[in-house]
Amino acid sequence: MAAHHHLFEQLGVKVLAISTDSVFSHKIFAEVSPSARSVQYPLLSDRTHRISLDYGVLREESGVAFRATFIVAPGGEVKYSCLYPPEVGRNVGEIIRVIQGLQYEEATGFGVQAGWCPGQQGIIKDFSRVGKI
Amino acid sequence: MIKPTMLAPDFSTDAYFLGNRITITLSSYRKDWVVLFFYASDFTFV
Repeated sequence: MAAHHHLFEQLGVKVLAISTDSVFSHKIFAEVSPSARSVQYPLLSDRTHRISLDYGVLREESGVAFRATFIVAPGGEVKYSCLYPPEVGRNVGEIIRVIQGLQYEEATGFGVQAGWCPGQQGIIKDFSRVGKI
Repeated sequence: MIKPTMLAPDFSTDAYFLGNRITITLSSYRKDWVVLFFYASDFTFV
């Protein structure tokens, strides 16, 4: 995650990481963990579990959140949500691709097809073209 | 669970950022794209 932060910055995306740990834990984590030492975004503390509950990602048996990702557009609308199995880490590249696709669609009006990557042409969203792609 | 097209629930909470203890309010990012990464625990792989 931390290694990809510059890509989020280039896209104008603010990153917020959040767990049910305290800010005290976050501080030490950021200071001592090799993977967290380079973190350039805020680590939020959801000590009351309220935020994790509101987003529907709290594991009530353990008091921790699922590994979950939400993309929120300007204005506050959720565009993407995803839950991972606890055993497997995220693919940040895919999250960046989704944001690029959302921004491309917003800028051009083109549809963003399966497997689309930046630089590729999107597709025209028109009913007359249904079945031709 | 919050799904696409829903409004992101607002919150205001304690955060650690570059050595400081600050308050983060989601609605103060209304002009920005935001990614929220929930993770289980500090010191586990993120």
